Order: sequence, then structure tokens, then C-alpha cells
Amino acid sequence: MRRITLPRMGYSYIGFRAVFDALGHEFVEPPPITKRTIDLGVKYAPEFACFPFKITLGSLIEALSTGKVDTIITAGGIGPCRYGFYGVMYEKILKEELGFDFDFILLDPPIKPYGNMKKVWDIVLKWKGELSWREFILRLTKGFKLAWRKLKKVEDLEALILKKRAWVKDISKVEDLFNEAIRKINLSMDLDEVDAIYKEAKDSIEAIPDDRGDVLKVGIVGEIYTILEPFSNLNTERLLNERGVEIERSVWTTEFIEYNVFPGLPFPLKQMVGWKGKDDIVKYSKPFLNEFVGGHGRESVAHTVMFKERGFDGVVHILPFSCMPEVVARGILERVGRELDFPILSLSFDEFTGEAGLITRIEAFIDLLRMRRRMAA
Amino acid sequence: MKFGIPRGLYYEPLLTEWKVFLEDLGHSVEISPPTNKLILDEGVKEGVNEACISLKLSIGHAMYLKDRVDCIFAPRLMNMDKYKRITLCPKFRGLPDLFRVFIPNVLSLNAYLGSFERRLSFYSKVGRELRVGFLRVLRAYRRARLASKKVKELQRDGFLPDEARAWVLGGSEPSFTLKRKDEALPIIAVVGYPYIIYDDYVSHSLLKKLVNMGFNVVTPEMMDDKEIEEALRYLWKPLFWSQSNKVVGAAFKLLRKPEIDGMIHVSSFSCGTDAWVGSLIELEAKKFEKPLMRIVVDEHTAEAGLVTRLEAFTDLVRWRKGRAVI
Repeated sequence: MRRITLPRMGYSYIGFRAVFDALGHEFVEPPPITKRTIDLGVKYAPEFACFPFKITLGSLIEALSTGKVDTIITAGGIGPCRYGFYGVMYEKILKEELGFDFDFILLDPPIKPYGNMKKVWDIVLKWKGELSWREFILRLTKGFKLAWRKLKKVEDLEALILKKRAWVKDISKVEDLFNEAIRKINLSMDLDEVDAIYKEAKDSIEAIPDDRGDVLKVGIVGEIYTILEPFSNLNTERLLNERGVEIERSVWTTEFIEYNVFPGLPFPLKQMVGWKGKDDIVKYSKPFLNEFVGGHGRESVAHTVMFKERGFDGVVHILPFSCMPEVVARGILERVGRELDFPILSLSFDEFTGEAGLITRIEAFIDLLRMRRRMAA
Repeated sequence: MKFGIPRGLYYEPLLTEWKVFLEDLGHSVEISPPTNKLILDEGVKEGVNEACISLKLSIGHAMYLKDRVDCIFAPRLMNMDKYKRITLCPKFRGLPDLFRVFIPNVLSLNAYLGSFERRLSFYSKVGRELRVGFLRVLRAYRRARLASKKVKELQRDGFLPDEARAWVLGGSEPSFTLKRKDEALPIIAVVGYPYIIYDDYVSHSLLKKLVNMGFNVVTPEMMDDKEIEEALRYLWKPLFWSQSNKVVGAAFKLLRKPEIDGMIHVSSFSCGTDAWVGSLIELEAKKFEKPLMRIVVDEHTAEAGLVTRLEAFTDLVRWRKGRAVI
């Protein structure tokens, strides 16, 4: 049995927990991100590394120094975003510089020259361990099914509270219900039970009466980690909600997996999971950005155009400082905003971002949106 | 038609090839001048916030050409390596679209340039766009390749890219070269992207300064491609960007050579790829106990500060070599 951990990203740990539990390994939940995590990461990461790398590195150092972890697992990648190289850097820094001893598993896709089928096969054998093939596949499918259902339901709830918090004055009631539901979903081991918890939480959150009017609608686009991990963006979404802005996110963990893992699956599996293709992204990002630039760069542009067409008031673009794909997107969003007459606020985050400056910018943006509404009326 | 090719980013090593190619097809070509204050200011004003100085400069160069030419020739660089999956930095991939934010007339095609077939297919696509036959494209391609190979060879001998290009295209022999004149002088390796180390304005003529201070200089462009490729084996997964692979490979190889006395890594502020490149080189330099200095340039870098650092570093290198002149 292995004791595994993964860096924290929003609520994704719920899904990983389901998979590893099903395989009979212990999943050590990563500690929540705090100021200390970021300080640790900043200390040991390369100076210009992206902010998500610094946070996740700090999170791994915290987890390893508890001594409860013996395996770290990370997805690799084939670029051109820097994310694909995180694994190599984790290993170099944690093993060579800090001298931690652990088993590191890097899931690289079997694409030359970054990985090959043999590496993938070795990892599969490692996970199979003593189990028989039949048992292994059964457990794996069961684990993935449960993880997928849990992640979907958690995300549905998140999407719900991102809307609901804007309509009520006392948001703590909404959040209490939400946190309770998340806790229960994390512990549940049964598909139907997950559904039941979700339904109950949804009904009770929706039952809270709205006591606020004149709510703006804003879309969120940008880099996935900084959006999903509230500590890294200083809880921007909550700050917006508190000021009467309803939010719709465009990136989610499950969507990320659908777009980045599903296309690479072999023939029958791809059809089984229902791969739909990425046509809408390609369609909407034209003529502004005509090529995939890595990460969520293209999605940021496409979703901004979609939000405009759906009649949103504006878009907030969240990116970590010096993120390569999002910097390209940011340059292009300037043109999108100009040509479509659409307000876009780009917020970049790193370890030096202060809350006061952020709030000022958000409030100015909201004032602008309200003014535009009044002018249009 | 009059085409303009902006300098900056990875267009730098391809300028000769494209200029000869387009001129052979009967168009006139203007290459933007070497970076100057005006171009930098324009780029910083219009360019993307948070982007590296090279991207801002690239936009500055394109803005310079905007009103002087009919069309900006800005292919989307997708691949320069034999492996199709090794690509270039996202900023290169988004560059034509970033130009389009300010400039309506941009001719852009996806450029896969890693092998003969891919290059040929790219050039024939350009030919189709310009309505010329395949045979003419083939002829122009041959000439372009020959010229660009000559420039590359000259660069290997230590000539600077701009001067080498002028020489190949009919100018006179340049006076400045990095070629070793005195073997006894200490050797400093300068690694970094060609669009930074050869840009005299951005790097404050770092190469020339080193030569004038009495050093032999080696750059990645002066090395054999095979050597660089070999050295990449020490990395158990190559980076995703061919330009970075070249720098890392060259640095790894040079650090293993006993005759190299020190290394300077020149990188630009907020360059995404250099976050990994820099720390990989740093870890490797520690292993081989070679002095390493990392210079980060941006639009605010002052020459005096750079010179001070350079002098301190060169003193250290000389001292280690045992012939201090202080």
C-alpha cells in the first residue's frame, strides 16, 4: 500500500481520493494552502517559475515534511505550456536540492520524444501491484466512475453558489451548506449517495430567499489553477459575489480532463467516455486567435466571445504573473474588447499581489459595468 | 508587393532565408532596422503587459514596418525540430495574432520547419499564397537555403548574424568577429536566445564588451548542432521549445568542456521558458563547479550596472585562471 499525495487544486483532491481508495492505497489529503505554503514554494522554486508551480511545490514540501507520504504522482505533458515540465522540476528540487526520499510517478503521455509506451506500461504495472488483472480493471473503473460523479457534483454545487452568493446578503449561510455538502461527498463511497447529498444541498441552497436586486453577470476566464484555487487568487470570486456580481466560470477540472486527457485515449476508450471535440473553441476564437497556444490561452479568447454573445456584462481574466499562454491571450483580449465593445478586466496574481489594490480594481470595474447598464437602459 | 519582416524573437535566424526567398519571387523586402530607442518605446507602449522584452520588441519592430510596407510577413513558427512535437514558446505561436491586434495586413501561415519535407510544404504554401508555380518556389527555396546555410556557417566562425547576412547578400567582409585570436585568453561562454544575445541594444553589446575586455567568447550559434543534440541526453525529458533545447544543450555541453572558464546566461525578464532553462543550467553549473552569472535584461536595464557586474565576474574568472591583473 502506498501513501500518496498530490498538490492541491481547488476540490480536485476529492476525485483523486476516490480513485486511490478504490485501488486500495491511502490518499493523504494535501494541507490547505496558506501563506506558509507560498513562502516555502517561493523560497525553493526558480525565480521566474509560474505562481502555480510555486504554490504546488510549497504544498508538496509541506506534505513531505509531515513524513506521512511516500509517493507523489504528477501528470506530465507535451507543452507548449510550462506545466508539462513541473514533474521534472519537482523531482530535481525535492530530491536533489532538499533531499527528500520518496517514490515519484510522472504520467507522461506516450508521445515521442517526451515519453513512450514502455514508461506508461511500467506505471500501469506499478499500480496493479499484487491485484489480478480482472480485479485491477474493475476497481479502476469503479474508482474513476465514482471520482467523475463526485467531481461533477461538486462542480455543479460550486457553479450554483457562485451565482447564489450574489443574490443573498448573508452569504455565510450559503457557504455553510456548501461546505457541509463537500465534506459529505468527500467521505461518501456510493454513487447514489453522492447524488442524494447533491440534491439535498442544491434544494436547500436554492430555498434561501433572494434579498438583493440589480445583480451583474460576469464570466471568468483564464488559467485553470489560479481560478480553481481560491487562495491563489485572494478569493476574487467571493469578492465579486459580495458586491452583487453573479459569476460563471469557464474552466473546470472535469472540463480540463475532457479536453486534455480524452483526446489522447486509444480508440474504444475515447468513444466510451463520450469525447465531443473542441469545435466550439476553434470556432469562437477566430479570427482573434487562430492557433492553440498552450494551456487555456485559446479557451480564454473563445469563452470571452461566448460570454459576449450570451449577453454578460463583462469578463474577468485571471492569470498568474508571466503565464506564457495567458500573456498571449491577454494581448489578444485587448482587441476582443475593442472590437466587440466588451469590458474585460485582466488580473494577474503572484506572491506579491495585495488585497487592497485588488479590491480597488474590482470595485472600479463593477462601477463601470453598472454605468454601462444604466447607459444602455 | 513590398513585404516587411520584423526582427525579434525567432525570426532573427530566419531573416536571410525569407528575404532571399521572397526577393527571388519578385517582391521587395524590408527588414526592420536593428533595435533602437524608438522601436523599444513603441513596443513597450503598445505591447502586452507582463510580456518579455523580446515580445514587446517584436511588436515594436512590426509597428515600425506598419506604414512602410504593404504587408507584414509573419509566419507562425510551430516547429523547428526533427520531432514534430517539439514546438516553440507559446508567444511565438501567438505572434501573428498579436500583430493583428494593431496591424490589419499580416500574411501568416503555419510554419513547420523541422525537416526537408515540412520546409518544402511550408514554402509551397507561401508560393500558393503569392500565386507562383511550384518550380519557381523550388528554385527560390534552394537559393534561400544556400544563403541561410552560408550565414549559419559564418556565424559558426564567430561573425555576428547581421554582419554575416550583409556579407552573404553582397556586402563587404565585416571587421568584427568572435573568432579566437589568442588561445591563451580565458574563454567565457555566453548562452541565451539569439534574439537577446545578438541584439546590441537589449544586451548592451555584451559580446563586444567581453571581447574588448580580453576574453574569448563562445555562443550556442558557434557550436555544432550534433554536439548540442548529444548533450540533451543528460536531460531525461527534453524541453518543449526548440530554442530552449538549443540553449540547454549548448550550456550542458560547454559546462563539461574543461577549457571553458566561465558562463554567462543572458535571459529576459518574465521569460517563461527561462524559468526552467535558468535553473537547469544553475544546477548543472554547481555540479561542475564553473562560475555562472545570470543576467536578466529588460527595458529598464542600465548599462552602468551591467558593466559593474561584468567586471566583477570577469575578475573572478581571471582570478580562478590564475592570472589576476588587479
